[in-house]
Amino acid sequence: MSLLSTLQQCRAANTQYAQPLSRLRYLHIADQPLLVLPLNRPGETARPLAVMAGSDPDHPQLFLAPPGDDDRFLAALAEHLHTYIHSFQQATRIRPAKGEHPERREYLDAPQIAVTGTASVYYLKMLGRALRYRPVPEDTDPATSAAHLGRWLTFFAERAEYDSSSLLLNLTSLLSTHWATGQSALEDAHLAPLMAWVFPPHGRTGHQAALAVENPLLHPPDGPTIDPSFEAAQLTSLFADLKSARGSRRQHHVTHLREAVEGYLTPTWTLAWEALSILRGMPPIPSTAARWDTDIRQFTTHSDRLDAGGPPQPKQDDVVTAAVRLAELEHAAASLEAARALEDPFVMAERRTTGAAFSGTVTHTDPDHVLKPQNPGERAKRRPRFTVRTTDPVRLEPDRLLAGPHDPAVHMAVCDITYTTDATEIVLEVRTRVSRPSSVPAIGTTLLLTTAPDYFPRPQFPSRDQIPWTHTGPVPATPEETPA
Amino acid sequence: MNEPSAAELSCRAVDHILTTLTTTPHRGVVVDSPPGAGKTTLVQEAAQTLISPQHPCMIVAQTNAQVDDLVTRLAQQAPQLTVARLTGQSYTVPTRLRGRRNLLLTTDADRASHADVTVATASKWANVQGWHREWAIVDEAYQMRSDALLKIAHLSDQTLFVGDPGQLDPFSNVPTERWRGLAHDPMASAVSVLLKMNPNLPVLSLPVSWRLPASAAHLVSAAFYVTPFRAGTTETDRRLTFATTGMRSALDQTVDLAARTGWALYELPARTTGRIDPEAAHAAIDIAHHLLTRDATAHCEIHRTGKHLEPTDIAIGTTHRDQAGYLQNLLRSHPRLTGIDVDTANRLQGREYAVTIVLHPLSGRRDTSNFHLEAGRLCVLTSRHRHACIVIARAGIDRLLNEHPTHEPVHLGVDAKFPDGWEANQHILDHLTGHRIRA
Repeated sequence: MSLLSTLQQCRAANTQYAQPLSRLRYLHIADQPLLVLPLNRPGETARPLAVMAGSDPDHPQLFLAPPGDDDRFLAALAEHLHTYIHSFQQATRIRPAKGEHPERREYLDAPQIAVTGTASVYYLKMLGRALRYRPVPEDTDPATSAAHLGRWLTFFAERAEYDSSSLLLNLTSLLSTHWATGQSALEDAHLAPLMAWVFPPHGRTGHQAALAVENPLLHPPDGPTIDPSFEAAQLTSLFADLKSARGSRRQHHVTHLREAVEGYLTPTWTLAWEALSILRGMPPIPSTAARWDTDIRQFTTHSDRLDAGGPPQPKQDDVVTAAVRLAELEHAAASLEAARALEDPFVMAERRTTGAAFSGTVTHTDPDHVLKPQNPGERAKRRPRFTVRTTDPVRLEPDRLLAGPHDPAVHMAVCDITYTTDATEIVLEVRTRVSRPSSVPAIGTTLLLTTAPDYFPRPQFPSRDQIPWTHTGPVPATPEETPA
Repeated sequence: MNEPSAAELSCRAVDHILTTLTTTPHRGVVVDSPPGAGKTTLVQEAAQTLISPQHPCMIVAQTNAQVDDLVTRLAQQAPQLTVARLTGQSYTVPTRLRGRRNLLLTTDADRASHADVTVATASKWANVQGWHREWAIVDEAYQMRSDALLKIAHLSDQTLFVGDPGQLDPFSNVPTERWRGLAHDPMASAVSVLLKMNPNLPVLSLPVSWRLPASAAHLVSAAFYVTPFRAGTTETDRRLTFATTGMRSALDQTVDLAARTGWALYELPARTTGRIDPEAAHAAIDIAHHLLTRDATAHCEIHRTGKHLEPTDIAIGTTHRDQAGYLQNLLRSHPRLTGIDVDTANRLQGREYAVTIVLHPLSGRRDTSNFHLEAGRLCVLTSRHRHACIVIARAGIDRLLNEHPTHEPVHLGVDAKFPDGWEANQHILDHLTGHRIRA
């Protein structure tokens, strides 16, 4: 956490109103996301009691799993998710071949699931893991099976590990990147108190509004864990009634349970759509579209794999998958961070306070600077240089590549840093777009510079059948025999 | 029978390692090396042993600075060998490496194919194609992530892994829980994955630290290492003397105590501070100032008549980069102190100084965290010195430790970490308490 966000939290606590951290969003918000509010059965792991879902704020659908009815619940939920996803599997476009990538077909848009918080993301992941290995019953459409539901949930939950992915939106975490409140991170992880802080009703401060939603019976907290007071007040007796009831009496109790759960989830449902429309109303930074394109590509790939009858996602990553995924996760996080710094003035301001970015004036330019060849046989290279003077506290090392919002494609390397008593002078060497005259700014220009996005060559890992001895262990002398 | 001398012990260990290299049927050998145990010398000797004209070998280091140091030493100490240093396209090789007859600097692996030893960083090796050697030597293997090893392990038949198990583990800024407990966790160090997959590999160790003085070797060994080691020098070999006697200030007492015993804890009054504690930072600067203005001379087995203590012989170690940045800014207004290194534990790994001044990772904190308790961090900070280590801390770390025992969950398949950071912190603090000067 940076000094600036701490300061904003102190301000929020002091003024009792949430303070902005950033007014630009970096994730795509679909026009019709599928909001999913899961509730888990108390005392069990990944065993839903109910899921409220839908992409129309006015028509939530409640899927209920009263004791003994799990299969019907899963079938209905799978059908619903399939219908939603299938609506994105109609229109396609052709991406022309580019570089190493051959021409490929892609869907025009991708589905988007929204949940209230990190606990729900984790819950979908666990539910996905519990379901994806189930056998697909014969004579049924595999697309609407619980197994495919599990594989889709796994897909969304795994993509959610990438900071740059918008396929599974985590509403509280997104709101927290835009506003600082005066409450703890634990309280910020719940939608009701967070929304109360950020958008208090008229005549109340954020702090007062958050206090008012503390009663769990009046303002049920979002799932997937059911609040114990609701459990004690209603669920326990409803479950006891259901246990012995048969026929129409059971139906009667199920209706009661449905009403109770509906009443529990509806306030969160309304709040979540409010949060979504507020987030959608924020202007996105330009690179958001490119990141959503990556999501669409991932969605296409996963759809193709399912259509081709591929196996479910493995329980654990193998050696190569794990290494590739780690490299991709790190790249996604780093490039998102760099893109946000270059495209969002709030993030840039935060970086200036930590010395990772600075603002300075161009004091000297040398547009025709030439590098002498280092080795025989090399030619001399033209590398324009210029000097920037800044009074910001900078923390840079030589060779670090910088870029600025004025032209993010121009990357400059730090060649030399001179500290004077009241300022710092930094000599920069243009490394990309070298031949364009505009890459060298005029003397007197004020520049805002920070670390440039890393170049990311696709990591070269061995193929799965060529994993070296260091990661497989010695090859056994006799091939292992499969037990008969 | 007399106990063997440190030199003998060390010689025997190196001989044993070199014999193992030439005779082992295993594809890998791991050598654990405590701080300053002659790791670089071992790498160099191993390279020379493995090379006969037909058997050139490759060396993998982790950072460009490490590669530069290694090739300089190899080219200097083994003039009969041709050494190649592969670099990335954008890296500018320091001028001190240029113009050596037996050192080839190139970005192209093909041009290095005739060299006896070829040295590059792990990330450079990962881009080299069509290369094969019988032996590879991986330096600082405990700082290498296992996914980096995965990219380069196929380049050689057999590999020698050398590293310091007590230093900081590799880290990442992204969540890595999904691989926790897997034998092939890509975040784990290269050695830990290697040994989990190949439990029968020979693991040898170097028994003598030539860097740490007698006052520190035993403590560091007991607090941070499974395989014990001893100091290569005796207490009489290493002395720190001052030309002028100081005033009786707390700062003077601190440097005097450090010169006499090898350790000092300069304790500031208890206070919860932010990451940047200006008082502690100024204390670090003042202590460095005292060491230099009192004309300290360091006597050791190399400089028997003594060597005048220069700013470049001193380092200030911090936990966070912004603390280092703050101190670097302060240093700029003290021309006398120009040349003192200020860096975080991560970047001080593998470096050596006469005297180190350390800001205690837990100083001024309200709670402990796994990051601040990490044994490797404290180990790096307290094992960089040849003569003395001066720790600066706010009072109350003992209370802080007692109030915040480790409470991390235990994960299936993850080996218990030794040493435990909390216990190592207690161990070092217990020792430092006997060397305390209150500000």
